[in-house]
Amino acid sequence: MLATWTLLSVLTLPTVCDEASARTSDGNDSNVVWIQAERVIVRPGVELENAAVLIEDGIIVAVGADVEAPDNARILKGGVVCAGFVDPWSSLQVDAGSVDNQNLEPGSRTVDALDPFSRPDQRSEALAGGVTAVRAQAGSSSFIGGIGAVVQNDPGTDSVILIEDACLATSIGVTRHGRVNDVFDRVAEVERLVGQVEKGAAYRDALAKYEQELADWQKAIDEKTKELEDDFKKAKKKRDKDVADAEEKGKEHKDKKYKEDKKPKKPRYDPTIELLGRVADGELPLVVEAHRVPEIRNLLERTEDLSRLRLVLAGATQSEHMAEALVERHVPVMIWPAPEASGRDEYDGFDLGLAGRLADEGVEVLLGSGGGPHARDLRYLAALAVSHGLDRDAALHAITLGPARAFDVADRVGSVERGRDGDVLVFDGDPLDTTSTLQFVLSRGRVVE
Amino acid sequence: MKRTLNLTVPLLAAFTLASAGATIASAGSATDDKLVVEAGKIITQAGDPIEDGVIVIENGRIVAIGKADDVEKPWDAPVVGGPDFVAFPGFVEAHTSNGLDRANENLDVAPFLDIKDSIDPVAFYFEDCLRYGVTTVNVQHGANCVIGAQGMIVRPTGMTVDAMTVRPSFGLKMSTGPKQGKSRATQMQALRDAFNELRMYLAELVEEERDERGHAEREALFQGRELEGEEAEGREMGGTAWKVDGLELIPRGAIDEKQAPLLDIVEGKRTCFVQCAGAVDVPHALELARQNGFLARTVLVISTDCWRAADRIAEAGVPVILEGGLVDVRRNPVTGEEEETFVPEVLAAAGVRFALSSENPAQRSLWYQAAMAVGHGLARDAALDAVTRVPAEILGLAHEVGSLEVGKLGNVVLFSGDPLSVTSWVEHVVVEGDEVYSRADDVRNKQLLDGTQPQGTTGGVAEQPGDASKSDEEEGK
Amino acid sequence: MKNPDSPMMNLTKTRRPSLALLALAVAAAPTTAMANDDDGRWVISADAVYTAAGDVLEGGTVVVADGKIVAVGPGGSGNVLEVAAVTPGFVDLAVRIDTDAYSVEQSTEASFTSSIDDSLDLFSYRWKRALASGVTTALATPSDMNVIGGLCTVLKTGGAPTLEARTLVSGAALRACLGPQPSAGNQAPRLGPAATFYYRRPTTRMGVEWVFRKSFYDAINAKRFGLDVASEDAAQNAVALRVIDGELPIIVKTQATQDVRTAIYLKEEFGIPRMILDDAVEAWKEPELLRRSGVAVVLPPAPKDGRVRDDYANDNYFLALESAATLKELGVLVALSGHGSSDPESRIANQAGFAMRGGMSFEDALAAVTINPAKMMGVDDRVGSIEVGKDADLVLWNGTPFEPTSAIIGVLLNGELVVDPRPAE
Repeated sequence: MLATWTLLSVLTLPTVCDEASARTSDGNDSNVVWIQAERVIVRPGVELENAAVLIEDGIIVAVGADVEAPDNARILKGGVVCAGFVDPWSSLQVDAGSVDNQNLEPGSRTVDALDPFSRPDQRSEALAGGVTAVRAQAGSSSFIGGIGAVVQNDPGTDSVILIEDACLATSIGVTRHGRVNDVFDRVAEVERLVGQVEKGAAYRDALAKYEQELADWQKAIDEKTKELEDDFKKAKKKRDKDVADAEEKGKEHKDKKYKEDKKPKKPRYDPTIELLGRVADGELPLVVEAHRVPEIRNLLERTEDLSRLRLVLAGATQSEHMAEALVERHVPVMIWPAPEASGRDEYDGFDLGLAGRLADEGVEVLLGSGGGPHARDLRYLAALAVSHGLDRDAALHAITLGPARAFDVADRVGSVERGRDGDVLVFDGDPLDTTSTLQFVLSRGRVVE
Repeated sequence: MKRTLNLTVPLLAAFTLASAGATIASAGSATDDKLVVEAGKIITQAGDPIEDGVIVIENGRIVAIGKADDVEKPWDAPVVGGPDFVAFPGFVEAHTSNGLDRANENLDVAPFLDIKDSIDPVAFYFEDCLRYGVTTVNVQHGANCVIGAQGMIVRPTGMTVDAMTVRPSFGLKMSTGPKQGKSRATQMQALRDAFNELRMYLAELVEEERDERGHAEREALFQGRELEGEEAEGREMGGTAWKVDGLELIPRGAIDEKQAPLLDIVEGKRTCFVQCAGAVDVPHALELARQNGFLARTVLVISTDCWRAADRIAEAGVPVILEGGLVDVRRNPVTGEEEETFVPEVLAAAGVRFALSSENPAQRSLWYQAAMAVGHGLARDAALDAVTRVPAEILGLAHEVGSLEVGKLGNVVLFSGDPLSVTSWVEHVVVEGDEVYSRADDVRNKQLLDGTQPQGTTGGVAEQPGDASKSDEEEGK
Repeated sequence: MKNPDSPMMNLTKTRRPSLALLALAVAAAPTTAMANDDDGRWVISADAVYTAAGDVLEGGTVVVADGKIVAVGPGGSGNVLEVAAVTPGFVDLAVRIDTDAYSVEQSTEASFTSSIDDSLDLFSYRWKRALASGVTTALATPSDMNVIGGLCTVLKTGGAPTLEARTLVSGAALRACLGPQPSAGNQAPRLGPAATFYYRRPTTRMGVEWVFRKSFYDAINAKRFGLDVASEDAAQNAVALRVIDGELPIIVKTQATQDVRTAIYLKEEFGIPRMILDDAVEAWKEPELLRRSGVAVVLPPAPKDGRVRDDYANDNYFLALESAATLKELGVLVALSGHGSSDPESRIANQAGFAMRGGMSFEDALAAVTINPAKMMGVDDRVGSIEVGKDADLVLWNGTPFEPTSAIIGVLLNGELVVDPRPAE
C-alpha cells in the first residue's frame, strides 16, 4: 500500500508539481493545500512522523500519515508542521489611543478599537514570525482594560474576529503615569476589583431570584384572575347584578393594589454590572495583571467564594511563591519572558527562569509578547524561556493550545486537528529552535506570501 | 360700467415708471419679485451650456432659462449681468461647522440642542460664502462630540437666523472619531450606550403605561410642552433594526425631548451626519447605523485618510462628504517615503457618491476644491457635480438647488470667466431672485486685493479690521 | 490528434514555461524602451511652449540631449513626449528644506562663515516632494534663528544625492533675518548671572538691527584701519565685505513693514548693491522705498484671507493679493515661492496662479517662478528659461500652466525624466 502510494507519488508528483506551480504562479488562489512534513505536531505531546495535513477552504480536513494529496492541491513540503502561534498578550492592530487610555470601563470593547488600516507592516511582521492569532487588548496598563478580543491575523484589511468578548482584562499595582503604588494601594485595588466582580455576581443572583419571583407572582395573578372570572360568571348566572358588581369593583380595586404592591421589581439594569455578572459566572475569563505576592495572594483569597470565576494571572513576577494555590485553583499564568522586562517597578526581580519553575510546579504557563504591538518576537521569547528551563512541550503549549483554551477558541485554533482553522506553520526544523526557518505560514488555509 | 379705467391706466403707468426708476437707482433689487440674469454663457449643470443666455426668476424660482432670443424677458424686471459673465448655479456646501458661535458642545450626548441657537448671521464665513459663490449651506455641529446637536440648512444672507433658514432642524451629528479625551473604545461605548439608553427609556415608558403608572404626559407638561394635534397621538414605532412594542400607547409629544431626536434617527426620519476621523472609524459608523436602523439616512463626513475604507463605503451605499483636503499624504512607516493618494479618484473608482467641502487646511472654498480636483485628474463634470448636484441630493434639496432649471430656486452666480479658473472672480450672486452680492461693492474683497482698509475702521500696521472676530471664529472651530 | 503520452506532449508542457519567459520578455519591452531613456534624448512637443525668454511657441518642440536643451523648434531625434504645455523648471528661493535648529549655528547671532552645505540632507523625502511639484532649482537656506544665518547654496532638487552632482553655486548668497524671530529665545539677564549663552543681545527688533549694523560696521572699519589679523573675525569680515562690494548678494527675511524699511535703510547706509527681501509679506506697503532701493523681492505663499501669522511677535501681517502685480509695476524684480509645503495649494505653481488672480499677467507670473529668481541668484545662464544651451530642466503640463485645473504630469531635470507623464503599462 505504502509502496504503491510512494510510486504513485513519484509518478504524479512532478506533473502535479508543474500544474501546481503553474497554477500558483498565477496567484495564490488554490483553496486546497496539502502539506507533507517529517514531523507534524498535532499538539504539544502528540506528534506524527512523516505525515500530511490537508486543508480545504480554510479548514483542516485531514491529518495523518495516510492523507493523500488531491489533484488540484498546492503541495508544500517541510520539516516540522505545527499550529499557528496564538499570542495571548498583545495590542497588535489596536488603535494606539485606546491602548494608552487609562479611563476604560468594563464595557469598553477592544473590537471598537481595532484598526485594520494602519500599520500593516506590524501585522505582516507578526505573520512572518508565525503569529496567526492574538488576544488583542486595549488599556494595557489601565486598572480596567475592558473586553479583549481574539483576532486572527489575516493578511488583507479585514480583522477576522474569532471571538469578540474573549475576556475582561484588569491590572493591579502596575506603574501608571510613572507612579508606583505602595502595597496598601495595591491591596485596595484588589478589593475594588473583587468588589466589582461580587456586584456582578450579586446582580446575577438577584436576577435569577427576580425571575423566579416574577414567575410566582404571575402564577398568583393568573390564579387570582381566574378566580375572579369564575366569580363573575357565577354572579352573572345568579343575576345578582348589583351585589356582583359591587364585589367585582371591590375585588378589582384590591387587585390593582395587589399588583402594584406585590409585583417584584426587576433589578436595575446596568450593562456594566451585567457584564461583571457574566465574568463572575465564568462566561468570560478575568485576566488580572498582578506581579507581587501581596496582591496575588489577596486576589486568590478574596475570590475563593466565586467558584465559577475563571482567573488568568498575567505578569506574575513573584507568583512562584503562590504556585500551589494557583495549581489548586486552576489559574493559568501568562508571562512575558522579555530579556529586559520593561524596567518598570513591578517587574523588579523578574528572571527568565520563572516560566520553567512554575511549569515544574504544575502551573499552566502561557507566554505572550507583553501587550505591545510587536507580536513577531513570540517564538524567540518562547525559545528564551526554554533555554532557562521551560519544558519544550510546555513552551509550545504556552504559545498555541494554552492561549486558545484559556480564551475559548480552542475549537478554531491552537492545534493541527481536523475541523480547526487552517492556521498552520511549516518549519524546516524544530519551531523552538531559533536556527530553524519558517518556510510557510498559512492563515485560514491560505499561504501568506 | 364706470369709466375709471381711463384714469387708472396713466396712474398705473406712472407708478410703474416710478418703481422702475427706483430699481434703476438701486440696481439689482427685485421689484415685484422678478429678476432677469444675463450671461455670455450659462452653465446649467443640467445639459449643454447656453451661449448668450437669459434666466428669468420670479418669486424666487427660475421660470424661464434659455438663449436670449428664445426667452421672453419681463419688461418690468431688473437685469443683472451681461455678455461678459458666465452664469453658474450657486454652490452647495454639503456640511460645515463654520459660522457658529461655538461649534462644539461640552456634553458628550446632546441631540436635544439645536444649531439655530448658535448661528451667527454676521460671521465672516457667511460673507465668504457669497464671495465665493456658495448659496446653500448645511450647518452642523462640530466633530468634537459623541452625539451632537440638530443642524439646519441656511442661505448665507440675512440678518437673523430666521431670515437665513432654508430647512430648520435638519440632520443630526454624530462622531465615531473620538471626542477629545476619549479613545476609540470609549467613544464607541458611549455611542452604543446612548442608543441602549433610548431603548431602555422607551421600554420603561411603555411598561409604566401598561402598568398604569405612566407619567410621561405629566413630565411633558412639566417641561413646558403642550400636547396638541400630532403630538398628542401615539404611533407605533417605526425603524428597521429594532423596535419597542407598544410605543403607540405613548403620545409622541410626551417622549422626553432629550431622547426624541435620537428616536427620529432610529425611525429613519432624520439624516445623520457621522464624522469619521480616520479609515478605522468608517466600519464602526456603518455598523452602528446598521444596528440602529439608520443606514439609509446616513451620510459620512470623512477625512482624507478614509480612502482606505472606500470599498466598505461603496458596499454600504452611503454618500460621503470629503473634508480636510483632496490628497492624503502619508509617510511610509518603513521606507520614510511620502505617499500621496488622490482621494476623489479612489472614491469615484469604488462607486462612492461624494461631495467636496471647503473645510480644508487652507480653507479654500468650493470652486477651488473643484478646480484642484480636476487638476488631480477628476473629470470636470464629476468635480462640478461634487459641489452642486451631489450635495443638493445629500441634503434632500435636489429639486431646489444644484442646477439652473425651470422650477428650481433662483440661486445664480455670475463669474467673470470660467468658474474653475484662478483668474475668475465672483462678480454677482443672486439668491432666490435677490442680488445679494456684487464684487464692486465688496469692501473686504478690495482690502484683500490691495490692502485698502474699509472706511470707518481703525487699525495699525499689524492689526487689521475684523481680526478680533476672525480669531474668535477660529477658536470656536 | 496527438498522443497525450508522446514526447511531443511533454515538450508542449515544457514549452509552457518558455512561453512564460517570452511573456516576461514582452512585458520587459517597455523596460528595454526605458533603457533607451538613459541616453537622455528627448523630443518634447507641446501645444504651447512657454520659454520665459520672451516668446510662447504655439505647437512648439523642445529637444533635449546630454542634459541640455539643444534645440527649441522642430526636428531632432529621441524619445517623443507629447504634452499640452511646457514651462521651464521652477526656481524656488525659499524651499525651506532642512531648516531645523541644526542648520544654523546659534552660539553667535552673526555667523557669516557657516555654510548650509554642512547640514544638508540630500536624502530627505522633501527634495522629492519639491521636485514633483516642479521645482528643479532651489536655494537652501539656514533657518532664521540668527540675524546672520550663513552662506546659502543653489542646488538642483534631484539627481545623484551628492553635493558635487547637485550644487550649482555653493555660497551663492548670505542669509540674514530682520524681525522678531532671531531674538526669540534670547533673554536679558535680570537678577543674577546668565545661565546660558542665550542671555544676550538681541532681545528686540532694535537689537536685531544692531547686530546687523555692528557686523557690517566692524567689517568696514577693520578694512579701513587695517585691523584684519589672522583671527576668526577676519573670515567673517571678508564675507561682509563681499556683500558690500556686491560680489555676494544678501537675502534678508523681512516680513513686517518695519523690517522692510529697516532692510532698505541698511542697504542704503552700507551701499549694499545686491539685496533680496525674502518672505516680504508687507513689502506692498512701501512702494516708494522699493522703487528707489533696487531690491528684489521674494513673496511667500498667499494665504486665502491675506493674513500671515507671526508666532514670534504674536502678530498678524497682511499680504495683499495684488502685491506681486503691484511690485512688478514698480519695476521691482519679483519672485514667488512655495515654502516646500506638502499642502497642494501652497505649491509654487499654484502661487503663480494666485499672483495672476491678483492681477499679474501670465508672462510676469511665469517669470516670477523661473527667470527672475534665477537672475537674483546669478544662475540665469544655466536655468530659468527654455533656451538653447541651458540645462534641460522642464515642467510638463496637461493644460494651461498655473491653473488649478491643470496638473504637472512630468518633470525633466538635467535632461533626465524624473516624473514620467506617460501612462504606466
